[in-house]
Amino acid sequence: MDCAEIRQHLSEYLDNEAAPVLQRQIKEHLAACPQCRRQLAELHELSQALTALSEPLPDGLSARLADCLTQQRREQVSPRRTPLHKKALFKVASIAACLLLCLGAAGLAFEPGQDGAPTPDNSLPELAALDADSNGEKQLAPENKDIGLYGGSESADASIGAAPSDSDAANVAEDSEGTTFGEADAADTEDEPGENSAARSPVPFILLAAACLLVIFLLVWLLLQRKKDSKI
Amino acid sequence: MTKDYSAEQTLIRLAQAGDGEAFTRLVERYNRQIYNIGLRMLGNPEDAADMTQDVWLKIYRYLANFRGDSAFSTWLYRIAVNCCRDYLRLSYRTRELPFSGFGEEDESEAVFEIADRSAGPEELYLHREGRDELLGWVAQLSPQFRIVLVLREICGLSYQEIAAAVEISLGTVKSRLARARAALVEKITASREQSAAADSHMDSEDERGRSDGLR
Repeated sequence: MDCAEIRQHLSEYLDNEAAPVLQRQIKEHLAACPQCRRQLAELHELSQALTALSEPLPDGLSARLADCLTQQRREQVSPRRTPLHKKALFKVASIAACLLLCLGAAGLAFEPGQDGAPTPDNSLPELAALDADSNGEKQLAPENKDIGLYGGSESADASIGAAPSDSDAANVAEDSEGTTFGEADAADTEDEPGENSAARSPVPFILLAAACLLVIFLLVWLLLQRKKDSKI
Repeated sequence: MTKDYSAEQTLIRLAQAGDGEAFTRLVERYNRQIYNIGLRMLGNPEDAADMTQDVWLKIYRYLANFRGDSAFSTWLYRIAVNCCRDYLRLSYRTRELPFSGFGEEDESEAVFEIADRSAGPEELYLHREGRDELLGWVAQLSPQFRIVLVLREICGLSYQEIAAAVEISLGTVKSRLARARAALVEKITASREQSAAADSHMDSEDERGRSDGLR
């Protein structure tokens, strides 16, 4: 390598960043070439002068940074904590809404007679078929259904009239309204459909209404939260 | 339990977990370098301080995202370089000058800017001696050369680190550094010769005066 080539690589040689082979070649050349040595010395001097240009931090910068970061921390802490806290509550509320929805829907689905109520006449054949599946003797069911749908108390009377002997079953049905759904199902299988429906029918609707309320509540919550976030 | 604040890895982990003291230590470690990048690239202490603050806010905000795929310093310097680029872009725009960032679009770029620097604070440094003279020349370097020089000479980064921070190739780092240094050496040599000539001129004047007085 001649001097011109060597001088192109003196900068990286100075920083010890040249490839090992090149580093060695330059070293050998420098040992024999005073002009290139002087070039290197100039580069070295420049490098030292440049390093000396580093200035100390101005007064107050550290304090200013500390203030700024403390403020940032405070701003970050509050919004970060609330979502976490809310998430737990939010999850519980969402799960509750889902459960209520499922229970309500299941309630409607598993009560063949009464829940078809809004359109009783149209659904009769199907319902009758369903009844026949679940219970052998349900030819009476359609008549009872109508009564059950149009008035809670009347339907109860009617059901008693239709099956006076099953007073125990009626009691079970009444209990089921106040308590859980599983019991209601149990009552359903034992019993005449008219009776059960009359006692139970409000439950699914209450559940569904509660679920709807919860969902509305959750939506409002989400909206409020989003507004708050956008403000920040 | 006493916390060990000496190892950087530990500091980073603690800071990521929300330890304010650990973050402060990280700031102390790198603050001067970042400020000096700002100072040499932007040319005035006010902008440099603003930039430094922006860099730390960014680091604070994104520290949780730092996964340790690269060295912390590399990550930090890249943020600083990006921040610096944004400031420079703004400053060039207000002076209605073109600014193409630090990338390597054209490698035929001039080492020194021939731009109109009338609005630049660097003007203050011109025609002074020694350190101030050198500052003036550094300020006149084109930004893509200056950033590499500053990261190497003032921040002490390796070529690899510079390449990662500026997002250019290792070869570009080498050539830019070599060209910037050669240009500065040339300026210094020229300036020395000039002042030596002026001195010798003054000396000869002095001598003439003295001999005149003797007569």
